[in-house]
Amino acid sequence: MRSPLIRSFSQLDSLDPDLPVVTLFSGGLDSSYLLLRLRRMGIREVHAVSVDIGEDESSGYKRQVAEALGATIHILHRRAEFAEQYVAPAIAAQAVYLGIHPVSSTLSRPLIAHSAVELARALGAQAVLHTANRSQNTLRRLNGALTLLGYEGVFGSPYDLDPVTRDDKLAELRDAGIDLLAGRIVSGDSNLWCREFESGILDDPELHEVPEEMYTWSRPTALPGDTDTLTVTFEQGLPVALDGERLPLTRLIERLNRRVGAYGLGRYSGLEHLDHGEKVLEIRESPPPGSCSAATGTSRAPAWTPNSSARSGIWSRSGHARPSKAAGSANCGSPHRCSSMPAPPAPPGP
Amino acid sequence: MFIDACAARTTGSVTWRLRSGGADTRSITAGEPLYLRDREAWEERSISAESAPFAPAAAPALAAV
Repeated sequence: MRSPLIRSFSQLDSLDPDLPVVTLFSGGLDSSYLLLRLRRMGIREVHAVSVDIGEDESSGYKRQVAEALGATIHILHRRAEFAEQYVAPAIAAQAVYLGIHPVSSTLSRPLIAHSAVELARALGAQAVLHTANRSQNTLRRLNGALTLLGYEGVFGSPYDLDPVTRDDKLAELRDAGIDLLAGRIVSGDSNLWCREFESGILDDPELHEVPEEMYTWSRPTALPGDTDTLTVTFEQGLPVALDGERLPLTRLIERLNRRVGAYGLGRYSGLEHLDHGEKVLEIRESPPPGSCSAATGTSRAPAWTPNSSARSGIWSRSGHARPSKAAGSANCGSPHRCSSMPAPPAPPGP
Repeated sequence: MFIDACAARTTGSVTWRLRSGGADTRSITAGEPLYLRDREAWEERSISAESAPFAPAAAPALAAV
């Protein structure tokens, strides 16, 4: 019989202090606080895992926080794997979340879970813990991926049933000598394909504004009247070259982020759906998908210019979806159009 | 028919700020919203609702004589 899912801090009492524990670690408040709780419990060997798939946070910062909390940090470099095995099938399939935005965490979570399980098995760890809460679909994505991977130990997020207020987490960390985290005003999730913001000052759909400085790629730097013409070459549904220069997918996406984002293109705003019909606001910047997908559905000789449309990305497809290794829940295979427009207000839940 | 059924319950307003190159939302508002406006408060309510069936039974208001 499977071990019960970890859903609360009290369940952590059943962990053996002498066996290793693996935690997913972003350097944020929730994952830092979990390290503090594990240290207090006397778990002797805590391994904090950060899977590098293009996040813009420094590994130095994460290392500093994790080690200050007594954990061993593991920065696992998976950018190329993420691009080639997870993003590429999504590009070929033009995978869009309910017609709202290109899928992103749907792609990254299975890879993060897989990386954590590999490490946990190598270490003989008794648990893989993460810090998603119930208003984040990452809770379902990680628990689902860890279940499907057949991890032998216990796993889950103690925040599912035991949310801790932001103020309490900050205060307890400060008391423990960790005072590095107060500046964050939203939760973020970033990879080379997409940067996403939610919660905090973005909790309320009825009144929200992302501070412009939070955008990295899509902050307009082009002057009024500027133009830029770029050509993306596709082979079998995948982008392989930019302006005739063949590039690995990671480099090609990085360049598109800057080139397309310079025109303020690639922003998405919408309501994501939780498991009982509730919706939560999520804001994203992801400049490349418009240029990677507009072409594949419309032409065998694709060319896309950023100035050809004021919309941040137009998705249309007529080809066949390739199976995605990652995207069990991706909306592959349906015709979609996606722009910076948000989801319609309050569509009925499942 | 599916689209009609979904669209029938979709009523509200969206406010954008237009800028060169695109538009950013500032407000998404519905009369009977399914969206959350305060995630932490919702998490507390949701956990309470899930836990309610497992809460200890309240003591009877009137003790048996």
